[in-house]
Amino acid sequence: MIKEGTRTLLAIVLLFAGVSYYFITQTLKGKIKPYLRRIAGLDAIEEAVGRATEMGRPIHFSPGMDGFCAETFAGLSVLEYVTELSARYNTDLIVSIRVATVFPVAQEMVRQAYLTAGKPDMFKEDTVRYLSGEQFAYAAGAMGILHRYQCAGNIMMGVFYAESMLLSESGAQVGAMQVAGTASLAQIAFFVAACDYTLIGEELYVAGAYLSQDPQRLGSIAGQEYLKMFVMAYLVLGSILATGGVNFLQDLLSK
Amino acid sequence: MSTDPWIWIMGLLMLGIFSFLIKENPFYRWVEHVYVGAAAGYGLSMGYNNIINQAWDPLVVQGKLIYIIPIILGIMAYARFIKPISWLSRWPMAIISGAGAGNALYGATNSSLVAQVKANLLPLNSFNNIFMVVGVLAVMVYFLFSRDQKGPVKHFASGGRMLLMVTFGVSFGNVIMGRISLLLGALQSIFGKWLGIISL
Amino acid sequence: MSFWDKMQKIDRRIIYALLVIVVAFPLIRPLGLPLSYSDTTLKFFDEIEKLQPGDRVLISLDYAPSGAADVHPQTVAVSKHLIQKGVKIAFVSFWEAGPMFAEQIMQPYLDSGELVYGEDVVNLGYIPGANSAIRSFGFDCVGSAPKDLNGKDTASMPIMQGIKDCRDFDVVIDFVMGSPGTAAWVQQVQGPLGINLLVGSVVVEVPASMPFVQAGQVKGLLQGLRGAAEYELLSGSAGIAAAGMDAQSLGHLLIIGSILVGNVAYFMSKKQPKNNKQ
Repeated sequence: MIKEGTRTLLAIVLLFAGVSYYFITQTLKGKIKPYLRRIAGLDAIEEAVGRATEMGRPIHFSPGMDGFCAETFAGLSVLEYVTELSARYNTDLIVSIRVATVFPVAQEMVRQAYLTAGKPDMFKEDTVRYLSGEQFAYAAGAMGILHRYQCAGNIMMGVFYAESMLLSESGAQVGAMQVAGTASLAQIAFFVAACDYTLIGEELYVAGAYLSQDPQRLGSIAGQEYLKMFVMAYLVLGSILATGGVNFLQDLLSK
Repeated sequence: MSTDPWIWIMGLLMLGIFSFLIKENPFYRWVEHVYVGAAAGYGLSMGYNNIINQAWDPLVVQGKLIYIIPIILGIMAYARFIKPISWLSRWPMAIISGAGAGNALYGATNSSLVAQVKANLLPLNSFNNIFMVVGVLAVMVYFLFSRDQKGPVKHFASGGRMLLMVTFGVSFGNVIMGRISLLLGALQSIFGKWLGIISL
Repeated sequence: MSFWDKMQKIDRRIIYALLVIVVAFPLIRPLGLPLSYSDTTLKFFDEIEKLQPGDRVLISLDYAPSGAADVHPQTVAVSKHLIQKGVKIAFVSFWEAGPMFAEQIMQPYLDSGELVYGEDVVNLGYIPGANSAIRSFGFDCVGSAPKDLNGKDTASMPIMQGIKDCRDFDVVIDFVMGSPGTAAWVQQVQGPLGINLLVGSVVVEVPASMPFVQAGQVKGLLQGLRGAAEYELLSGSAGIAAAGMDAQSLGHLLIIGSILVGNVAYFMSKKQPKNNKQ
């Protein structure tokens, strides 16, 4: 009934879904309180907003270059947190957007976050700006914003491509404190070199959950932790067996 | 030297963008706005073509009635501009997100998890294989977030972090190579197509 | 300010100017530096060499003008080689600018009568929808691209006869500069259908593509402009990429020199205050 070659895959999807579901429901019920270790880069965001307040300059935020994917969602969670901080410190926020579908969601999140913080007046129509769908036209626009407003903070969280260096170099030129986070392998190197703090790969996904302490996301990450340990155990066992010429675990993955 | 006015426009706009390297200036700002505007115009024309080719033609010309469903969903996305019914725009968004996640589920699990794990189940009989397996484990330990990194775990995770930094170094080198290629492309256009100093 | 402090604070504009000079010089006066071949290029070339006249290849052009300098020379070199071998090519794109590059490649051959449109070559145009579009096209090529770029029916074209899904192409090549690209092709089409996939990528994306090469999901990989230059030389027709290799090598030397100077200056200037105290 199930196609040859996809049985193990189905079993893995079911296992992952089951474990995630269990941890999410248990966390929502309060039976499990997942612990996440502190990620240094996140605390730097508050420092960046505080510094911008002292200097009387705005913060620039970019949720990345891609549409709705895990990284963009994580970036938007950080945006919500940055907006709360901006409301708390009375610091202007400028959000630049590349993907049209992300624009209304980001706009709504920022509006809501200001409303929740009791400062709806801080939301202006140009707080969230759609610049361009073309990669480098967006980059040119965002670089222009960084220079014209002399932003004191530049926070970039999401998917980034070749424009990563242009943005972080512009941020460095205007003396902004920069915090970046991405899972785009090729771009992490630039962010590590040019930014004050960088969230590497999965740290970005954890950032959203860490900041919001949302039980649903915390539960999901707790489940993933066990699944990662399962994969590690599978790798160790599979390699030891393969050394002895037994390829059972390797063959299992092809069934 | 080229006599084609479009090549001249290309060359001058390139110089405008390059002028940013000296300093942010009005010429760069002007080119930046032209670029953003031109990209918006191109996007608009592609969007129009997509509506005609992917929605209007199949429904009206070819009579494929099934297209009514995505077209209605597409129109619903614009409901966000009308406050009383703005909630309607969440439906197409939910469908796009759900379909995207579902689509990614099989592909990502199969190609980015199962195939990669399979490729790393290596017999531990050579330095390369041992290094590969231990390296993968060290990087995975670095990405465990539910425990504080203390004692031997900390050292193992630090090893993983070092491996990541080496990878980023390789990546950095590759990116520099890519950027020089882009500069090379721009200079080939300026010296070749525009000024005619080199033959392409 | 000491010498080492000054070395750390070289005006960036001086480095930009040096880079432009160093890259421009060999373009005007080529030096003819030697070039070696990477394994992934050799594998790519071998896969193309296996093709016979009349075989069909799908080329997916997933890049934009901003990255074209790094990847388009690959497309030019590979297409030229395929055409020389008498292989038929279907171009498709999941990036808006892709069809324009296909036109640039096809037009000279169509004008000279060397190729017949619809028989030897076709431009299926741009298909919006990113990953979903790639999956849809992978499983139903004609259904996902019923019309070509100029609005002609593709089902009746000789080149598309017998093509149901991407397995019916002898080789699928993705020339790519970002997303959607290699990962989408591997996850959405190569994995489920087991197609023969080759990738030509901007060099920036190479580390992300390597795990797919290592796992055998991608059979060969061209790495940026250098990959294009290697391919040009392997196929015996040196072109724009090979001409740029001198400039690239000198550019790399300058960058390596800058990194060395910067690091030496950093450590020396850290050392200096201690010496002063003594």
